[in-house]
Amino acid sequence: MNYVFYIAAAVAVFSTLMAITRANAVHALLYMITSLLSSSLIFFVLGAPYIAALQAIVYAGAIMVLFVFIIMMLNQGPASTEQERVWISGKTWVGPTMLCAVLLAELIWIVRGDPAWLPGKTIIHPKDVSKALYGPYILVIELASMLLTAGLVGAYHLGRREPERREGES
Amino acid sequence: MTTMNIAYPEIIVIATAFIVLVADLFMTERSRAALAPIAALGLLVGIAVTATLTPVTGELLGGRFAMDPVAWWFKIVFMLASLVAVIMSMDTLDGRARVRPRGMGFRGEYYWIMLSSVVGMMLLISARDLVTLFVSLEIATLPLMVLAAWRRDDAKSGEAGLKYVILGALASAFIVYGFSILYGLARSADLNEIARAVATEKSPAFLLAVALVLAGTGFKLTMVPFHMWAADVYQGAPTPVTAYLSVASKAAGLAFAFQILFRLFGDMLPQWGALIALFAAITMTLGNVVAIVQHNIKRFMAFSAISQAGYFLLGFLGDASEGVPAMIFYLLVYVVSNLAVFACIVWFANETGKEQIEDYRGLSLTNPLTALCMMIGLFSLAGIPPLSGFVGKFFLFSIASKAGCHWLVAVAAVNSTISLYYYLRVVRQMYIEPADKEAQPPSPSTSISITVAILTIVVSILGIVPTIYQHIHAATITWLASLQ
Amino acid sequence: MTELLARFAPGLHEWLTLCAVLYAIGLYGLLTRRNAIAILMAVEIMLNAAALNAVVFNRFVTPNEIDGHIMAIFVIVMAAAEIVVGMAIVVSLYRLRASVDVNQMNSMKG
Repeated sequence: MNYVFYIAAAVAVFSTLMAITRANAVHALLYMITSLLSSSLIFFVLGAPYIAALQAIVYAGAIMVLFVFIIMMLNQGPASTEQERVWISGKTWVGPTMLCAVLLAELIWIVRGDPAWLPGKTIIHPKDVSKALYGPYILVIELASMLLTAGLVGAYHLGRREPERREGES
Repeated sequence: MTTMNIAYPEIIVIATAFIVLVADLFMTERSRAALAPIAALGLLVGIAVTATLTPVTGELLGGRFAMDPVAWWFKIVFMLASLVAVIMSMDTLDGRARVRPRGMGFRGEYYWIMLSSVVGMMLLISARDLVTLFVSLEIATLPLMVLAAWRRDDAKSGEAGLKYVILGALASAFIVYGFSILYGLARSADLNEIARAVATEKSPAFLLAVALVLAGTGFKLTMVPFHMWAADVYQGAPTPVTAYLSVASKAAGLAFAFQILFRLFGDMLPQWGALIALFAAITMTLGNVVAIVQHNIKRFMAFSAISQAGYFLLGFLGDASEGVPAMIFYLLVYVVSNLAVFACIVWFANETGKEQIEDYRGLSLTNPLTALCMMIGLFSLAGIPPLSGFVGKFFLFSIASKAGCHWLVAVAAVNSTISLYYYLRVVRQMYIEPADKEAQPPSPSTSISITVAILTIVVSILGIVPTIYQHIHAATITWLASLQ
Repeated sequence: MTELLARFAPGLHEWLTLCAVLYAIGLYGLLTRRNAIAILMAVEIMLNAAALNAVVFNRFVTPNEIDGHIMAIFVIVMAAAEIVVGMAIVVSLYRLRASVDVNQMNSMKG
């Protein structure tokens, strides 16, 4: 348990620092994904498997894909081809890959090893979380849906290209 | 106690929002002009239902959603402000403006975003646990960020939105981190239980949490030194949005500050008097001094709004039974006066596309009634008797003086004088400077003229008719009694 | 080294320190970076640290309750909504300024 904590914490702090200090957006992003994966592992160790899964799916998955997508989209054009080549070269991937490997090794060690050190009582199962979400916290669920719809409508409006002059809008 | 009817106002506003959003899909471009009246009607029904709500006190969902007389007043103000904002946006969005901004998109989306922010504000004041509180704060402010960036063809609007998003997200990060510490210290997410648990807390962790949460609140309320987003956002946002932003973000910030300072840290508030007084003094002074040198009227109003935030802070100095009614009354006064001024600004921008203070010269000759209404609104903001702004400020100043902060009253009085000077700059342009001969005189707009007229009448009589203040005071007393 | 690590079992304070460090890194990034996307990333880090903090408190202070977990979930939701809006604004700004590199979008001051 102790090793897991300290190694995961070290990976998290290191990759977060790298994410913040890299000038190149794609480098920063790779470290950012590692950072989010390591905090996902930390959630898992803390007895919150559901949030760990959410973290990996929503944060490291969806939101980071959005980041990658936007960065790639904003860098289109012939001038960026050379930069693109540098990005997909192996060197860029070494740091994040190694950090992710450490995390993976930890995860395998946790899953295969004796789970006795995981304090059984304090694991919050997804079922408990769902019960709370759709019980006492139902109002917040509705609010969150409203929030996401507002974000969606806003992003849709802002992201759409301005159409050529139309009747009524001009 | 578990009757649904205390949630009817929210349900009505949410339903209206969805009706507007979905109706937009099935309408022709021409008939979309009906969307604003639908949104306005929904808000009117919401106000009517809230006004006739009995009993006003109650709670739902195991106490996570609660209604009390003070929340009732806040909700009325929120819906009123957005109702006026919807009416003010009509000309711009329906293409009746002479200078039509491009990139405004579909009207249904615009009104949907506006209404969803109202829902957030209404739930903000009804929230009774940390999670609901920060999610509703987010839904109150995120739409405002989208609205600030609403004009797709205008880089200034986009920059305003981006600045607002970044600083708003920073404020949210402060608040959420502070909340997580509070949760850890109090072992509960319920506001009342936290208030009980931290009543005697003195640990550094608690002070850190308080500092973070108050900094976040300061952002939302444009308290100096967390005010820097306001000027750029006000200037860059489309004018009707600025009008809404100036009252909505302030009202939401005040509601959040109310939740934090009175509900969460109510027992500690007397000890923080000196600090609040200091922030109030800095906020009003800086806002006023910087407003003097502004040339853009929207930026000018932004600094005016910052200085008004300083006056609001005075309400947190005294006893809740005095401070809360003074604060809510001044919020009402501020909303009405500011919207009266902004209605004129929106109309002027629609007709001429100009937003410099110098462009207003000679307005009293071409449009005497509008100039008069704008002058009354500005004088109310400056606090000239017998307008409502004077009465509102009088209540707030008397709180500060009762709390023993006589120096602060002096600072506030000096600030009122400074503010009078710069509000008079606009009045001077309208009344003394000659009109531009070549410029086409702006023609009046029906919807805005009616709005301005009604708002000006309200501004004039709010201070003279004591009923409203008495009702707010009685509501506060009922609320305080229910806490015992 | 290994004995040392084994002796210092991570308690509440170690976890909280980790959260605080992550939060501070995020804040540092937000204040120093001038690239809009990097600033949004820094905000993500800060919100993530806050979510982690809530779960840590839940685990050590109220192990049988669930409020901290709920808080963490909604922080994730909130972050998602904020980032989506922020990104949409970045994209629409990019179109107007027609710059290839987002690093040029540096008139923003976080």
